[in-house]
Order: sequence, then structure tokens, then C-alpha cells
Amino acid sequence: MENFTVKRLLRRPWLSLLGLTISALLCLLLCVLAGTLSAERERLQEVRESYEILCVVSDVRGTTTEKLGMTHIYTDFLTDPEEGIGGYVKDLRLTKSFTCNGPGVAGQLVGVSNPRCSPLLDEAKGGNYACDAEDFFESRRYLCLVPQELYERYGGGSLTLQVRDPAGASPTNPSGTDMEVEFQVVGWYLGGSGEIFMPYPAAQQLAAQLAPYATTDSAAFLLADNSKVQELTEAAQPMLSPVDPGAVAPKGLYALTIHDEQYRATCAAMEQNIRRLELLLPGLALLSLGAGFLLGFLATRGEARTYALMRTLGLTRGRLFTLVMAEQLALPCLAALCIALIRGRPIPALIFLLFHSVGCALAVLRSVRTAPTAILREQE
Amino acid sequence: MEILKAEDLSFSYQNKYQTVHAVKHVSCGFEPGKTYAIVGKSGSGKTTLLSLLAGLELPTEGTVCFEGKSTRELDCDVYRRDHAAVIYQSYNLFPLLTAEENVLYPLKLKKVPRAEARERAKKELLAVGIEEGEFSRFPSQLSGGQQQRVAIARALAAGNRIILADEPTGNLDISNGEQVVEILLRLAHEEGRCVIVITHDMEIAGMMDQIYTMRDGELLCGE
Repeated sequence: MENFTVKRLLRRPWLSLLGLTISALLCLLLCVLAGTLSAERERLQEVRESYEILCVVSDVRGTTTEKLGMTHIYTDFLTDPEEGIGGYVKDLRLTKSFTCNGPGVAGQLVGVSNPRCSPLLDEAKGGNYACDAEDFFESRRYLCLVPQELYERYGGGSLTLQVRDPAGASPTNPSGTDMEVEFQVVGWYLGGSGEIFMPYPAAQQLAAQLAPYATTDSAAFLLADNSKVQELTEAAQPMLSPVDPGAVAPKGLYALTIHDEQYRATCAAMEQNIRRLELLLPGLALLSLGAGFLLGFLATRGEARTYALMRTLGLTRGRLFTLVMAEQLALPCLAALCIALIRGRPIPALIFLLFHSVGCALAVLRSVRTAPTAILREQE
Repeated sequence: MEILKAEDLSFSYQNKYQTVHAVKHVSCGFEPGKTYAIVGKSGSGKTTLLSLLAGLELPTEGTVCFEGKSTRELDCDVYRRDHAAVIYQSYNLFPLLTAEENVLYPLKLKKVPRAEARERAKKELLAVGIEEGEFSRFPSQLSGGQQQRVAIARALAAGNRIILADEPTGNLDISNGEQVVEILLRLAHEEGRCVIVITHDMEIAGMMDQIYTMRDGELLCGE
């Protein structure tokens, strides 16, 4: 019987070609759409995982993010995963600044916890530095990175600086306390206006000697898990409220600004795109069903008498249905197989075949249901 | 010994407007090796009787018995495939298959081996006067008489013992009609098959061994 199926297909080439073309096009569309949807979902996941949401501590009005004078209570809150928000924090950037004077040096000494604290050190922002001490940013020793021209004079040696903590000023000592500190020059950086960088832990140690208590000038970090913006906001609430421009701020009250606007806009645009594609997918599947019905209808429209004849020759209704379905699905199967192999996407091709088959089955059922006697009666 | 028997056969069906009592209490018998004509006016129930005898419909009352077994008990698809062949006035052949493939089709259904099937198809096509050069022609390339002869060849090749022909000469000219009738007579008288022909051509009916006349669904007489 099967070779008769092939012969029948070959002997009505235009209908077969039409069926093959429509099937291939729909299957290809479905595969492309599924591929695009999958790629969009992967991109969204990638954005969710890798997008860097910067969180910055400022004063409560949000007017400044520098010279905040935060005590260790706040820095502990930022780092403690149990009592604070340490679990939500990655890439913590803390700075502590001093004024300094020395031979050929008059400027700022900045304690940094991370190269990303300063654009001069941050390679992602064009910064360029070299350091001999591997644990520079965690060290409690008085190490420093100096501008390249200074490094040529002091590189590998020591540099003695007169250091003062502006936060150490008090009514009785308005200019603060000076202290002479010997730094080991372990590296250099390019550009800048003469700042000298030292490790943040060492800077805290130094600050404790220059003022009644050590403070931190600025704090920023990246969100460890981008899906936990709301959780972070709630967890930070006791110590770091959202920015309130109208607040009458007592000293020592700080705010946390989460810069997630771009992230949310990007995700929202991608999610909308995905939703549109997700709507298109069932639409296309229904179109496959419709095409299956249409092609089945066109192919079986004038065949009622042939099917009735087959029945009178002893073909059961079930066998007739199977035969006609095989005839109708042979070319769509071929098209789906080729597209699946070319695009490497078997599941959309299977979905196409499933819906196409259902549509086709509806048309074929309609045709093979005709009782053979109906034709005899027509003749009578 | 009757091969096919109708006992108090009635059949009614519903059309758009009413219930049609197409066959009413018909009883008759058919023996192998004999030819039968069922005559009657249009709408008298001849074709419905044929479809009942072919197992295409089951009677609403009474029984059709093939070799003593009711068609209610038989698998009607198997009955048609193996024992009763139906020949129509037109639309007899599959338009997308050649003459030879049309004859091969029921043999495929019976799962006859390919070589044997081809041999049988060739033999029966030649027997009904289709030449070898015409085997590969499509129905549209054959004359009406040739088409009808191919249809008969298909019934013969399947080896069915009962041939039910519905107006087999209705679309044919006199010469082709005579050829077809001759073949049908030969099938009964030389090969021992039971041939039942529905016709309203009394000349053809007169050539048959027995004539049944139908009117308004009732069998009036058997001559």
C-alpha cells in the first residue's frame, strides 16, 4: 500500500509541492521563533546574573557620597551577613582619605579596599596600575601606590609622609593631629593629580591613631544577587534608609541608593519581547493546525469517492484513515525532519508536526467518514 | 445451494426531510454460477438492496446471509475484501493509479505477494480485453468501456465469488455494454461466480438467468 501512497503523492505534484513548501515554511518559522525565544531567555538570564547594580551610600538627603565620616558600625553593617547586609554585598568599595605632605608630595592619601574604588586603578574605566604586593588591598601594613613619576624616585623604597585626618578635627584641635608615617612604595599608577593610595585596613588603623575613632569616607558595592533588590532595601532599612531630599538629617544618618533603573528598564524591555514571542509561538502552532486542516481539506476534497471505493474493496475505516493520514503527513514529516536537522531544533519541529497532524486529522476524518453507500444513493 | 440469501430484508434511513423505507421485507436467494438482474425504476430501492447484499449497510430488519452466516456476524470489510466485489456505473477506478495498479490494489489489501499479484493482474486484464500496452494508462486515458472492464478485472483478480454490479453498462455505448455483459455472463457460467446486476435496461436483464423486479422497496417477482 505504501508505494501507492508515494505514487499518489508524485502524481499530483503541485499539491504535494504546495504542502511541502507550506510545511517547510511553517516549521522553519516555528524553529526560528523558538530559537529566538530561547536566545532572548538566555540573554535575560545573563543580564540578571551579570548586570552590575551599583549601590552607593550617601547622606540621607542624597547630596553627597564622599566625606561621609561613617563609623565602623556602618561598615560592619555592610560586611556582616548575619546582623547586617553582608549577604547581599559583593565587591565592597570603601575609602578613607587623609591629607598628606612629603618630599615632592602635597595632596591626598586615600585608603582603598578595592581597585574599583578609584577610576585611576579600575582597569574597566581605563585605569592602569602595577603593584608588587599581592595582598595590597587587604593589608594592614603601610604600603602605597604612587604616581609613576614618583615611583621612579621611591620605587621599592620608602616614602615618609606627614599625614592628617580631616575628620579628626575638634573644637579644641580645629586643624586635627599630624603624624609622620613611613610608607613602603610597592607600586605605581598612571595619570591622576598626585593622589597616593594605601590599603583600606591600614588606613583604618592609621585613622584610629589620628582621631578619637576611625571613620570611612565613602562606601559602595555591587548587589550580589540582582533578584534581591527588594530584600536588600528591606534589610538595609534599619541603618540605611532610602534617600529623602527633604529630610532634616541628624549627623550620622545615611541613605542607600540602589542604581537599578537601567537594569530594570533593560529587563522590562527584554521581558516584554519574550512575552510577545511567547504569544507568537502558540499563534504559529495554531497556524500550523490551520495549515494542516487546509492542506488536508484540499487534498481530500475531491477524494470522497476514492475513499468510498477503497471501503467497498474491503479497507476498514481505521486503515483508510491511517493510509490517508500517512499520505498527508509524508511530506510535512520530511520537511520537519530537514528543518530540524538544519536548525538543530527537534522540539519545535515536533510541535509543528503535532499541530499539523491534528489539523490534518480533522480534515481527513471529515472525508473518510463519508459512507460508501452515500455515493451509491447519489447514483440511484 | 444458495451462496447469498436475503431473508425478510428491510432497510430505512433518514434523509433531510423524512425517513425513507428503501427496502421492505425482501426475500430472495442467489446461487453460484448464475446471473441475476434486479430491475426497477429509479428510487425503487435497487441500489440500497445491493449495498445490503455487499455488507455496506446492515439491514434494519431481516438478515443477509453469506454461506449461511449473517452479515451481522461477519466482518463486513473482510466479506467485501474476500468474497463480494462491487462494480459501479462510474467512479470505478482510482484516478491517480494506472489500470494495472487499480487491479493490484485489492491484491495488496489481501497481502498477495508482489510477483503473484502482478501475474494475476496481467491475466485478468488480458481476460477482459485490456491489452498490455494499456496497463500503464490512467483511467482518464481509457475509454468508458475499458474503465469498466478494468473494474471487472479488479473484481476478478481478487477472486471474489460474488460480483455485485450497479448499472455496469449505464455509461457505455451498445458495443462496450455488450462486451461487459458478455464478460459478466462468462464469469457466472464458466467460472461459477454469482453475478448480480442492477439495471433498468430490460434487454440486458433478459440475458440474465433470473430477474427480480423492485417497486417502492418491495420485490415484486422473480422470473
